[in-house]
Amino acid sequence: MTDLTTSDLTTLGIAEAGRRMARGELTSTALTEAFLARIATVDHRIASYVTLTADQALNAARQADMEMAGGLRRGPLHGIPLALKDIYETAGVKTTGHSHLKVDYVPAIDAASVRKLKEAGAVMLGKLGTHEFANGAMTPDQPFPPVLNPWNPKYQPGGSSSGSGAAVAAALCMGAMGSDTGGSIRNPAGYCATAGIKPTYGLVSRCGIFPLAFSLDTAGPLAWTTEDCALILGALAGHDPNDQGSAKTEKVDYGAAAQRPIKGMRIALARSWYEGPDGKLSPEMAKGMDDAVRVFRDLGAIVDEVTFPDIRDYHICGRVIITTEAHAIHRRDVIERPEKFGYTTRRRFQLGAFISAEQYISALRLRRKLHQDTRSHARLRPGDDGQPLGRAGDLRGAAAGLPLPRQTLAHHAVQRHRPAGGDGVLRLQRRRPSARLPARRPGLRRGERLCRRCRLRTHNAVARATTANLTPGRTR
Amino acid sequence: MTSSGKAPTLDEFRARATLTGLTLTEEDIGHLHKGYVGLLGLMERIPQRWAWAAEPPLVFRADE
Repeated sequence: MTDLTTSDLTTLGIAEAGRRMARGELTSTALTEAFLARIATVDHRIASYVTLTADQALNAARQADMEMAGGLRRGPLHGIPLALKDIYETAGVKTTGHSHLKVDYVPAIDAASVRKLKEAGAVMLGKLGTHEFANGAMTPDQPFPPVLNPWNPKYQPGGSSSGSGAAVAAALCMGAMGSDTGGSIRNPAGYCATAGIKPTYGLVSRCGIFPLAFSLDTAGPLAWTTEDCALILGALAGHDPNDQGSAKTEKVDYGAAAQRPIKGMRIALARSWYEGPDGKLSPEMAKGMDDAVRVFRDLGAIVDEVTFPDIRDYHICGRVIITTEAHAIHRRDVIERPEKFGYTTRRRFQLGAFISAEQYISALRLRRKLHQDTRSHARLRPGDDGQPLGRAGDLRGAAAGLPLPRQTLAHHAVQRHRPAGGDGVLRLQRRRPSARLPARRPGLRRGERLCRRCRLRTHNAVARATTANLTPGRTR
Repeated sequence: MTSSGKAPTLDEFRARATLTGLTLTEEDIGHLHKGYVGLLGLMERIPQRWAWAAEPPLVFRADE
């Protein structure tokens, strides 16, 4: 049916795999078997999966094949193997939160987002490692080994969606669900050189996902390309009355939006945010940003430098809110069973007990002010009448990569590609849609380091990858 | 900085810790005190005075 090797199958994009399945050139079963084989071969080196659901995955894949053979096509995710951060509740499958507290917890029903993915025909390969309860860090006192970075196992993969970033980068799934409260999609996407989208707060239901901070939690996808992320997001977005933060938004075809050109789109370049107050930036990072801006402009976008409020304000605002809300959520367990938490997680959850109500409310007020100031700054440019950047539902171009159900251009703020171990999460931005794009994948193909094969040969490949990642409608 | 932003001494922090309901060792208290004082230093960036209308948003969503 297909002449693709296992390696070829596991590095296909979602859109391309879907096209092949629609043409009858590929089956979901073959695709799923390829990923399961690769997981069995290499995952022990990075420990991205904590639970593998091979039997359920193969059953779902066979069902997808039968449906497609019968002429039923559920959408772009039909028959596509995905994986879930282990804070998504899954019916009949352990959901541990990477914690001793939940190590034997088996939910009775799926999280709303998992249900949507299954309704879209996606095949669930298993559950992925995470920082404990999407917070803290990977410490040896947790029930599963720490996830390692597939590009270099001596490095960490970022978090908290560590397994999601590592599994996507190592070609152990076609896409993965993560969650983002303070950078937990953007960080592993950056550390593992994948794409990732942190949707606008309220766009994707969080019902059935372990919470960290109610007023900041979001759920979103990581995948190899922004187009793939957009396809997953398209299946997820929508109002859920069971999530009180869920928004009633218009239906947007994110997959199609990602294909539209970005000519004329206004993009804010928040230089002070990625250069920092001292203006220091490594030559590699500076070149990466300059290349991205050049590509944007070559594609017809208008890139304006914008000065947003001091990034440290967003940072501290988020720290106080997360610390307080996380303590409120986990207070009972922190008091009654503190030994069940990992060291770092326990300390962070305990600290919230010392934040006063007035300090928390002040942080909420500051968040509101930063939100208003950011929108205000984003509307203005020298000699401009305040025309907003972007358009509702805009997702034009993998370069922009930013779902824009709102009408401000803060959405388009180009964010810095953080170095490993760096800090400076755009705290308020966490409530805004945000995307992590691998501006430069340094001459490496997905999973290459892990399996020592498929090396991209030339410097041109770097340029090609860079351009491809920033070009609408790219294909692999 | 917020009005409760004066950094507590370790003894003051220990007294406060007894009111939290947490079971803490002396080592825990030392670490948490260090973390709290650091957080207070960062919180100096949060304005102390707010207009009466600067209410915190309870809901702030994609359809706002």
